[in-house]
Amino acid sequence: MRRPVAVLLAVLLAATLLAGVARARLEGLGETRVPAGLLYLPKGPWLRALALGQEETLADLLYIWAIQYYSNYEDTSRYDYLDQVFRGAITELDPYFTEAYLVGALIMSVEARRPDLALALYDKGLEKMPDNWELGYWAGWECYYQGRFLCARDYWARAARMPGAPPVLTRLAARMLEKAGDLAAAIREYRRLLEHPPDEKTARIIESWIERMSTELDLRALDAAIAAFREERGRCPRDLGELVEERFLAALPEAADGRPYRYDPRTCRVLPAPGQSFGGGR
Amino acid sequence: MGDDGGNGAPLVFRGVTKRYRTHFWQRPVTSLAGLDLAVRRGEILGLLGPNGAGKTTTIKLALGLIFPDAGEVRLMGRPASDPAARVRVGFLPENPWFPDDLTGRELVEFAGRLHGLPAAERRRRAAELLELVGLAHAADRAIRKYSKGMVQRAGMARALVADPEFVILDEPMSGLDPIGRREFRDLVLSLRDRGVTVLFASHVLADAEMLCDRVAILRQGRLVDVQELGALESRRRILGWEVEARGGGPVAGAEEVSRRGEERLLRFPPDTDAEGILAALREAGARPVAIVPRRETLEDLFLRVLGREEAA
Amino acid sequence: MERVLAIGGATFMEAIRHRILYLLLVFALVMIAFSRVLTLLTVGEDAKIIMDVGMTAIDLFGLMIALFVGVGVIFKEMERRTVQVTLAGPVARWEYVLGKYTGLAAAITLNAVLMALALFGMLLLRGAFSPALVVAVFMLWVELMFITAAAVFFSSFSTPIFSALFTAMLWVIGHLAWSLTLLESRLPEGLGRKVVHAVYLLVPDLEYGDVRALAVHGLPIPPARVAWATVYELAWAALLLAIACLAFRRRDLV
Repeated sequence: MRRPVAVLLAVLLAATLLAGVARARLEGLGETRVPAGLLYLPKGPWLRALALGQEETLADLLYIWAIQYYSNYEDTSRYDYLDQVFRGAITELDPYFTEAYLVGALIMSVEARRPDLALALYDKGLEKMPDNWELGYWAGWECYYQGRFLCARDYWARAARMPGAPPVLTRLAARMLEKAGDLAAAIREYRRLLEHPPDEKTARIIESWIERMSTELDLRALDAAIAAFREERGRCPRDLGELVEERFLAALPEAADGRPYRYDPRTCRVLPAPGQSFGGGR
Repeated sequence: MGDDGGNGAPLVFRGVTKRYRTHFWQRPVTSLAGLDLAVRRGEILGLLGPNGAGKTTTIKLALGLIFPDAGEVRLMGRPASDPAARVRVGFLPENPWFPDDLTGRELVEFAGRLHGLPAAERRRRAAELLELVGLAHAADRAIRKYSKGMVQRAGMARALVADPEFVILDEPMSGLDPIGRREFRDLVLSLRDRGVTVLFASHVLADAEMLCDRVAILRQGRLVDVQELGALESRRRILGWEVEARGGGPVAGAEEVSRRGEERLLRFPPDTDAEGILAALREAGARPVAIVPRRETLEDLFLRVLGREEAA
Repeated sequence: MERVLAIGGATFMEAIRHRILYLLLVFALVMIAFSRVLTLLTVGEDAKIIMDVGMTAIDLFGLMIALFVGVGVIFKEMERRTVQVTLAGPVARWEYVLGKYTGLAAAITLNAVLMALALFGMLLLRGAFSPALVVAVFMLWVELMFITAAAVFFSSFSTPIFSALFTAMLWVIGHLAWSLTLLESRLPEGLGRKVVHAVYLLVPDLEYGDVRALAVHGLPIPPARVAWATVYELAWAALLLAIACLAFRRRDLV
C-alpha cells in the first residue's frame, strides 16, 4: 500500500525539478522582452471598449507596467512603441491622467530624444484638459529647450490664463518675447504685469528688466540712426543731437536713470555713463 | 355537485382539464380530463388513486400553482389563482423540502407571517402547534437535522399556523411509523371536530379507511367514483369465512386449516352465510367459538372497481 | 408589502449563507489592500490607483456575487419545489419575484457597503478621501441594482448556468453600448446606420452612470447626470422585474 504514495512523491519531486530547470533555461534564453501584446494593443476607442467600464484601472496598470518597462536600461529597443503606449493606450483609457502625460513626455523627450512626440502628447493632454496649467507649463519648457521661444511663449501664455495657474507663467511668457527678440512687446507685457505685482521684490526685478530692455531698444535705435547717418553723410555724427537735427532720430532717448546717453564721435559709438552698464550683447 | 359560495364549498372543480407536455416536440399528456368535484364543508374527503392518477395535479390546481387548460377551479369561493383565496387554507405537500437552515420554529413563524399574522400571535401559534405535533423539544434545531417524521410534523404545524378553515394534505403519512400515523389520525380528526374541512390525497387506502368521510377515486385523470366511505365499506365483497370451533368431526363444505386438540380453525367459501355455517358445525358435532367474515380490503375493492373501469 | 418583506428577509438570510459570498468578499478586500502595494510602483500620485482598483473591485465582485448567488435564486427553488411551499400560501406571484429581488439586492448592497468602507478607510488613512468618491460608488451601486434585477429576471425562466451567461452578457453589453455610436459614425448614411442607432437606443447603456473618472480626477460631477442616470438604470431594473413578474404569473409550477 505504500508503493503508490512513494511513486506519487517521486513524480512530485521530478516534476518540480523539471519545471525549475525548464524555467531557468527559459530565463537564460533572454529574448528581447517586447511583450507581444504591445504590438497588438488595439487603437484608442477599441481599447476602451475592451476595458468594459474599468478604463481607469486598466490605465493605471498599463502605466505602472510602462514605468517598470522603460526603466530597464538594457533593452535598447524599448522606445519603439513609446508613443503607442502613452498616447495611444494609457491616455486613451484615461484622458485625465495628468501624471501619465507628464512622465510619458519626460521619457519621450529626455530618454528617447523625441521631443516631437513629447509635444504631441502634451497637446493631446491640453485638448482633453483645457484647464490643466501643469501640462502647459512643462510643454513650454519642452519648446524652450529646443530653442523655440515663441512656441514656449504660446504655451505659457495660454497656461497663465488657466485657473489656478501660478503668476510666474505670465513672467515666463513675457520673457520669451524678449528671448525671441520682440523687445517692445516684451516691455509692454512687463508693464502690464507691474499693474499687479505679486510682491515688492518681484516688482523691482521686473522693473530692472524693463530698464534693461528699454536701454537695449534705445541703443538699437541709436545704432541704427548712427549707421544710417554714416551711410548717407559718410562720416560719424558730431554728437547725438545732430542725429535729431538731421532727422535721423525723432527724439533723443534718455537712459532709464534720467541721464542722457553719451557718445564718442571718434569711435562712433554710444557709451555708458559712469555707473551705467549696458547688459549683454555689447 | 356544482355547489359554490352559497353553501360555502371550500373547493370546487368544474369541467377541469389539464394537459402536460414535457418537451415541445412531444404530444401532450392529459393529466386530468373533465374533473367535476366539490369538497363539502366540514368533511374529510379522501382523494384516492394509483400513482399518476392525477391527485397531485388536482391539488396543485386547487392551490393555484398550476392553471387548468379548460374549466374552472374555485377555492374558498374565489378563483384558485387569487392569492386571497389561500389565506385560510393550509397545505402540506408530499415529501416537503423546506429551506435547510431554518429551525422548525422559524419555518412555522415564517408561514404565519406570510398569512398575515402579527409577530406576537405567530410566535404564540408556532409554539402551540410545535407542542401539538410533538416537536417542542426540537423547535430550535435546524430542519436539516430532522428525521423524516419530524419534517412531516413540522410541515403539519406549518400548515396549521394560520388557523385554516380548509387543510389540504398530499400523502401526509408517507414515511410515518405506526405511532406517527395514529397521532396523525387523531390530529386530523380533531381538526374535523373543530369544523375544519380536510382534503387528503393518498395512494395508501388504509390511511383513507382510517379517516375519510367520503372518498373520490381518480384513475388516469378521470374521476371514477365519489362515495361515502360507509357506502363503500358495504360494497366490499365477502371472500370467505374464518370459523373457530371446538371438537367434532369433519365439517361439510369447509376446509380445515388447523387443529390442535379440540381447537379448530375452519374456512368456509363465500357462498354461504352464518346460518349455514352454524348448521354445518352442528351436524359435525362441533361447537362454534367465532365466525368472522373475511371481506375484501378496500384495496381489493379498488382494484376490482378500477379493473372494471379498465375493462369498460 | 409585508409578504414581500418576509420573502425578502428569508432570501437575504439564505443569500448570505452562501459560502461563495465570503470568498468573493475576501478576494475583493484583498484586491483593495493589494492596491496599496501597487502604489509603491508608481512615480507620483499614489492614491489614484487605490481608488481605481477599489472601485473596479466593487464593480466586478458585485457582478460576480450577482452571478453566483443571484442566478439560482428562483430557479433552484423551482427545481426543489420549495417555491411551492411559499406560493401555496396567500402570496401573489409578483410578491414572490419582488421579494426575491429585495433579498438579493439587500445582500449585494451589504457587500458593496463593506467593500466601500474598506476602500474609504484606506483612503482616509492616506488623507486622500474625497466625497466625490461616494457619488461614484453610489452610481456603482445603482448599476449593481440593475444587474441584480437582470439576474432575477433570467433566473425566473432559465437554468443557473444560462442565467449567469445572460446576465454577464447583459453587463458586457451595458459597458460596450457606447461603442455602437462609434460603429454608427463609420457607417454610410442609410438603413444600416438607422438600425445601429435603433439598437443603441434599445440597449441599456451603463456608461452614463459611470462617473468614476470624474470622481478620481476631482472633476465636477454634474448632478443632472447622476440623477438621470440613476433614474435610467433603475427604470431598466423595474422593466426587467415587471417582465419577470408578468411571465411568472401564468407559469405552471410543476
